[in-house]
Amino acid sequence: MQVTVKQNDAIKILEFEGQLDVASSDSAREETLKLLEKKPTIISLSKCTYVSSAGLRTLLLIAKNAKSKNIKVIYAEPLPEVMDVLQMTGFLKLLRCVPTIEEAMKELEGA
Amino acid sequence: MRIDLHPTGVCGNFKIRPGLMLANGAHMVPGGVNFTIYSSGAKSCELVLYHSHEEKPFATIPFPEDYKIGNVFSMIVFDLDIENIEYGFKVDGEYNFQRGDVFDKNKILLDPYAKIISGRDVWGEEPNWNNEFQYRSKVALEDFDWEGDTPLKTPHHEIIIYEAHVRGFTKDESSGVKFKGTYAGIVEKIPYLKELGINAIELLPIFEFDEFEGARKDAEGKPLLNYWGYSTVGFFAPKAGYAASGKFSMQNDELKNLVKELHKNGIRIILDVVFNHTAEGNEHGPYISFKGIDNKVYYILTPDGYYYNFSGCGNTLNCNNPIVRNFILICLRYWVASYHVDGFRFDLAAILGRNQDGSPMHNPPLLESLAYDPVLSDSILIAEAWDAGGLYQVGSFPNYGRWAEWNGKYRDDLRKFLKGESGKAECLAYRISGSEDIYNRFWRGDCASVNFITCHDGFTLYDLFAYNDKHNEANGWNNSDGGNDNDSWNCGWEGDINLPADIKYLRHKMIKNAAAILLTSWGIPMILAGDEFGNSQFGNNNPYCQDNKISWLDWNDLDKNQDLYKFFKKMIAFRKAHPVLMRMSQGCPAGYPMFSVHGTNAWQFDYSPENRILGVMFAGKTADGADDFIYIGINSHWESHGVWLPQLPQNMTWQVEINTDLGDAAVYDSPDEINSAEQFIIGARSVIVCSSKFKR
Repeated sequence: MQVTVKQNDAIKILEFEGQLDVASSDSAREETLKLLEKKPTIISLSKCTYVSSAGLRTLLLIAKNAKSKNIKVIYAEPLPEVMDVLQMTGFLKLLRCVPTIEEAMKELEGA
Repeated sequence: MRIDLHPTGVCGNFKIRPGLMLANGAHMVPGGVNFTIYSSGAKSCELVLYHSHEEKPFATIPFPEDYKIGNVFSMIVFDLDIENIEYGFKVDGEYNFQRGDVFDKNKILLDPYAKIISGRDVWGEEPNWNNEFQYRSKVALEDFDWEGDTPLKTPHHEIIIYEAHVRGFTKDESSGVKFKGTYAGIVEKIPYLKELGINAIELLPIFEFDEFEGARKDAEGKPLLNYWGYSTVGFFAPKAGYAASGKFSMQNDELKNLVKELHKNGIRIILDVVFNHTAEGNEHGPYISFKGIDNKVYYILTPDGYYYNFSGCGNTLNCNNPIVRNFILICLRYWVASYHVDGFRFDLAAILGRNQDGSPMHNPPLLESLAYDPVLSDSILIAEAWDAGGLYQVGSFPNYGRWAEWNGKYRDDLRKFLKGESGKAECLAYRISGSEDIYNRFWRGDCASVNFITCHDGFTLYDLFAYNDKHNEANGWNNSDGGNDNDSWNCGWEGDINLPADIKYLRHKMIKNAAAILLTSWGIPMILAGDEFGNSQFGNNNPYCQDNKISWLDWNDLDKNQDLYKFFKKMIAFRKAHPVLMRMSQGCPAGYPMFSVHGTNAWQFDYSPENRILGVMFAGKTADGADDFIYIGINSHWESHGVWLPQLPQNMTWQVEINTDLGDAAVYDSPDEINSAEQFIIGARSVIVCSSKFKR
């Protein structure tokens, strides 16, 4: 699981690549929290091929942590299977996840 | 870091230490997983670890001698990838069938406390039968973001139950949901349930079971599965095949999300639980878990070691053994504390009151423990108060003023009355009044009677008035299975082929009559899912093995039978609007009893067996404290009759809100005032529902 910075303008874009499971969750969370700045952030999931139960919790913990620091985080462009998992388990209601980067941008620019 | 959470031993590549003796099953601890298992007769025990779905284990770790206290083995194993392991136990002990010991150290056993079970992850996917480990325990993440949710705390008086099968509810294409046949699919239907107005959903068994248990093929080669699931494999794990996310082992999260969403919408969740037997069958059945761990503790055995069969399913769980009753108690507490479940319906609950020799107990410790348990104290406990061994306890179930019962008498008497049998009008009055003849209100409270006319077991409400006889040929037993005492009536035409319009009209009226009585009776009403839109099982009254259109709700009927849906919706709303119908009225109008029975003349009920007319009046207060009267006029005779409604206080008058004789117009758009100087004519086989209003 790799976390990279794709863009660092007014809006920051991070990208998750690989599988987010119990083995990668802790490092992915720590890495992401380190990269969060006081600016709205989009986390692209387009290259995140699998999210396990622990992975779902990691996504939620990142979102909650960001919220506590007043940083707006939106997940974007999840693969269909990841989107389904978020929907089935109800995590989609606990965190913000939209189909495209453009939508996320629009939402953050409007905020 | 705690000093008792670091490794003290090594076994092969694994770091281990003595575990937490008071835990049960597998729990995550910092750095590792704690495994605890009890067996009274085991000489030794091994933990067997598999990578997910692998046929062969990657490790077998014996519990060292000093990792055992009393009869409990406990060990922490460090550095396990909890999402990718499955575990089981091998237990060694004596084999002496007659004494009830059947230990076999070669069997890989499921943890009885497993919180996730894999092996049947996707419904209907044929398993690999050569795999030595079929039902595989997994470690669960117990954290879930409940966002402040708790089990609901509103009074049980308000409950209106909707009995549904997770898969059958939305599996059919016509359901229109994305995740068909799953917990997530129910979430998509919550707006519908809310609009209907029910406030509790009771799910047929959702503890892990094997849909392939006893699977057969019908004459055309189509599979007949264990569709209902009344045969538990694991009591702590939700059925993975009911989760859209089951293949990812996320069934726990998916089910918890369903509970949370139901609660957000004011809907309780009640689980149908099967503690009377397990899926291990008798001496010819498989070793899954209990048999190999402690056979004679978990099962009621004959003196020569065979299985008593009070469940009709091969074995009988030894519910009043102290170990087993504690197991059941811990299990129910888990479902309430971890899943926020609001209550339970106990399948063949009479078995839960049997002694270790099978005899019925006067004061069964299990039932008493459940009645007084602090974690379960808001939960509704409903007994199916009979078993397959002939113990019938409707009205006499050991209840401690706490237990409710499926009221089988309600079902039987209502069915007989509705189809026009003589001698049933007086019975009907008792049934509407909460069956006070069998449930003494002083001892049993207001909610002892769960009133129902149909449930999963038997005809649907539509079929009750469409078939004189069961049509179970598809089940493959030459129509010999399923009950014969259905008290059904086809209204003059068997089935639906070439159905004359007047017969269809009558059937709809009969359904409305049933719904009107059910939803104005004291006690807790229960509706079978789909009855509100005339769902049919085509005359099959025992579709336990039918994973197809026979069992799946056909949502097209909702469009076709809008009159029925509208009627149910109205009756549910009507019940909720009148506290007196829920026995929640604060007081009674001066000079009136809260419940009274009437005949064609007010206050004069005709007790003769030929009478088929009953008027019932409820007198109470609205939520605002105003006087509130309800009159239900019921005529099961095939001719119409005029009735005089009881006189109201001078400032009030009757208005009719429901008249099932009016076809699609049975629900009045606005209530119609009744002229008290005239008799009201109740049509043949019809029900009217009237309320009081203040004169202008």
